[in-house]
Amino acid sequence: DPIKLGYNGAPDAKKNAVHYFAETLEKIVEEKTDIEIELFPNSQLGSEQERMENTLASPMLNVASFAGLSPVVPESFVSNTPFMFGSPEEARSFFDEGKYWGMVEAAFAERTGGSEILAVVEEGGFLAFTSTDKAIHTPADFDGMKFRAMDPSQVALYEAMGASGTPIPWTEVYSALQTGVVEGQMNPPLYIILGSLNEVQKYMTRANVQYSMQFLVGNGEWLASLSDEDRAVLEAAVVEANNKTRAKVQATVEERVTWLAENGMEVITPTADQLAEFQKIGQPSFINWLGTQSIDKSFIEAAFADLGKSDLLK
Amino acid sequence: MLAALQKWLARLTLGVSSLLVAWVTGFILYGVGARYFFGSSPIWFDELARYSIIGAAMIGVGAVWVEGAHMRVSILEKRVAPPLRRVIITYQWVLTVALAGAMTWFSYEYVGKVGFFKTPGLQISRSWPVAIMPLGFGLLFLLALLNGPKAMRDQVVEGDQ
Amino acid sequence: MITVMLLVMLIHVLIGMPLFISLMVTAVVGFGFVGFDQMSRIFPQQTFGGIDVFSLMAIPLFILAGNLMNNGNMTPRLLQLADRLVGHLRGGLGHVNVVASVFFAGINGSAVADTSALGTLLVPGMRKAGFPGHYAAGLTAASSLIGPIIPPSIFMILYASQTGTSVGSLFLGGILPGLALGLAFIAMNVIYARIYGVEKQAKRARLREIACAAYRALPALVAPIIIVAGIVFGVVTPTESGALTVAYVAIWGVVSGNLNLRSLWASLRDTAVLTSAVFVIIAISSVISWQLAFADAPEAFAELLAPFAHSPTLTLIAISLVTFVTGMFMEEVSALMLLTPIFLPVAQVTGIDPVHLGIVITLNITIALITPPMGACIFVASAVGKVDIARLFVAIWPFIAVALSVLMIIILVPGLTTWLPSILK
Ligand code: NA
Ligand code: NA
Repeated sequence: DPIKLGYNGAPDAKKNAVHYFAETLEKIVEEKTDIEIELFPNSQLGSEQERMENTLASPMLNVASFAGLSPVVPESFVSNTPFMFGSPEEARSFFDEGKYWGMVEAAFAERTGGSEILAVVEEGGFLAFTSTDKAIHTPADFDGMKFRAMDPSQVALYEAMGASGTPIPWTEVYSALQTGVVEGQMNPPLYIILGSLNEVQKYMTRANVQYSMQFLVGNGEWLASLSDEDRAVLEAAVVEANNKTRAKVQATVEERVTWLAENGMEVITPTADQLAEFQKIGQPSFINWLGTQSIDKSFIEAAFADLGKSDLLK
Repeated sequence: MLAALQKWLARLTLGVSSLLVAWVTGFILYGVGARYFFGSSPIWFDELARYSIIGAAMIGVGAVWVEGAHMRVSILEKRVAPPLRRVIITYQWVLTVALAGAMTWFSYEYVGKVGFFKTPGLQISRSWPVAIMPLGFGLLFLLALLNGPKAMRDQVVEGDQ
Repeated sequence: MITVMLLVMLIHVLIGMPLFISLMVTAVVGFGFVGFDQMSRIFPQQTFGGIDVFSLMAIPLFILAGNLMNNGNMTPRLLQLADRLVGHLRGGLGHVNVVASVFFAGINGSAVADTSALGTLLVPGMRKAGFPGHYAAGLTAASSLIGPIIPPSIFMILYASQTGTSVGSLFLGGILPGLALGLAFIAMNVIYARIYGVEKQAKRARLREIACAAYRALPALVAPIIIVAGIVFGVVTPTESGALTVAYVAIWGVVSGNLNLRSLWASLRDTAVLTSAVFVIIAISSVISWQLAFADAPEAFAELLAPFAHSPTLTLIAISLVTFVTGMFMEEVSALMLLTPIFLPVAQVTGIDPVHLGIVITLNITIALITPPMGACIFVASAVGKVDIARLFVAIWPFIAVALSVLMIIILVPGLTTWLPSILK
């Protein structure tokens, strides 16, 4: 039987990096092994939590977002700390070589009885803030504004900067921004384009909020059933597909920002000092929030040690 | 006795379901108001509204069945000879009871399986909202069982959406 | 797999099983194809997931608003206004029927509610005026199709939730097609009034009388303004506009003495019943949608459409054909939920505007409400108009033909759907 690979978003390699990754992985694996991979884009196999449930229960591959992964390993939230990475390279080595991510992978395998996080898949670069009438240069500019926030950690972030957070489902974001129900949101440039948000948002602030990524997860029973040879090919294929996706994401992010600038948005790039200020104000609120989750302190310490920023925790 | 129990149970559940509809309407209005007067609505706002509506819908499934208000086509059933009609009605009943029973069991088991997922808004175990399902299908099972193999009430008006 | 499932579904529907039970049996058979080991997990998972959707919350809200309007004396006032406006024309009550449906459409997302309310009030009168009962019932059912095309619309909300299209754009896109549908039925009624030799009924109303009726109907006319203006000019999201409409209608009804505790409770109860009946179908049908996706059935459907991919028009016609045939046998909400994800990728490749596609699919699904043998609006019209169902099955076809012609125009002229959203958004 072919193994099913489910993920979010359209089967369009230009717009959806996750689809590009899936397609590339399929091609490499099918060339080199007898394993057949069948792609299911557009959340056809279910929502985030549903796909994760199914991946843990029956043979399947799944690209999960934080919404799917974090219920199993809330520790993964640490990697979503705002203003954590200065560059894509820093984010990559954090996941590829850091001690913290190894601990998350181990915790995931242990709690699921053998299922594994196989890769961290890049989606569309850093998230940027967008806003309707007020340009955002520093955290002080957030004062009194209403933002779309999708989980308690985002609410904590906005509140730390003096703004408020309100949940708006993605299908209603455009009209909510247009009509002033909320005055801003954050997303990678890719989603700003997909949602035509440039039509209703004047400013985009590239504050490197969070690095957008998803996670390839494989069912444990299925992985165990593979021959050593196939397993090695699969792992190599994952790395190769991931490298290709990273190169592609890197190349397209700047194109997208240029496109947005040409299509009605004023792009703001904060200075190093301003970025440091975002970090100073935004991070503690998030770290506090992490404290309220069932996350062992050792994970937080390991993550900041990996970045060489342990002093930020004091 | 059984008929009275069925009637009473149906009225009670439909009453709860109606109250939930009223509550959701009020709650959504509160959300709109909160956003205008306090600048933001709580992060668990749409989640609670959703779960309340699911509750209203699932809790009422059995009572609506008793009322014969589920959408169906009853033309053929009325035009066949009485013996065949009896067979059809018995089959309808057995199948409804069996499926409702199976679904109660499946969804009860499922409640246990999703316990470690937390809902993103309310931050409660996913088991809580999901538990509406065994409740709803359990009520359908019970109400259908109490009904016995009788002809279903005809709909006065067939709803669509 | 699809054939077997369709057959099982059809048999159970025909022997009078409630649709959701028929869908459950079909789902059990479906698990035979995708693996019984999945059943105990996927069945409850997808049942819950199918209704755990934010935009579905608008359904009970709009149903409740409609119920409150019926119980709170707003509906008869709308009828009276329509009567004063067009009641003096030949076959005037037929026009009233259509025009009332247009007004109704602005409040109500449900064609069945429209059919039942207007059918009760107008079919007896149309009979007296000289129309045959089956024509009167047919016109009531057919003109109620305007309901889900002019915003608000439950079908559009469902489409939007599946495709990520903006609900606001779809609502705006439906206005012109809805009016076109109304004009088409009025034109048809002009012709049929002559054929049946229907005489003029009322005298032309004086301006004062029209103004008076308009004044009395004002509270009812404000409701659609709340909905459309609220969404377009910026106060609320579409779901929230449902709650605001309910609040408005309820408060007006209570303050004006048209609603009391008893009628409020009756409205809530009827809403709960319909919500339950609708949600359980959506819930179970999403299990089947999952099975079809898991078995890669959409791929097969998409391949069927592939030869037309070079032309948006041909693709839309092919999509309409598939929907029409499916809609004859399938419950409309399930058909919409099942077909949309199949059509979307094909339309994306062909370059069809998602709003245009949404209106075409909505109109198709709406037409399914009046296509025999399974169409909720025909059943309701036959019940409230006391018309033999078999007779109505025949009499409905001219109306279907008219609706299909309008559909054809909407396919050929995308501007009818995309123009309003493009200037107002
Ligand atoms: Na409408
Ligand atoms: Na039909």
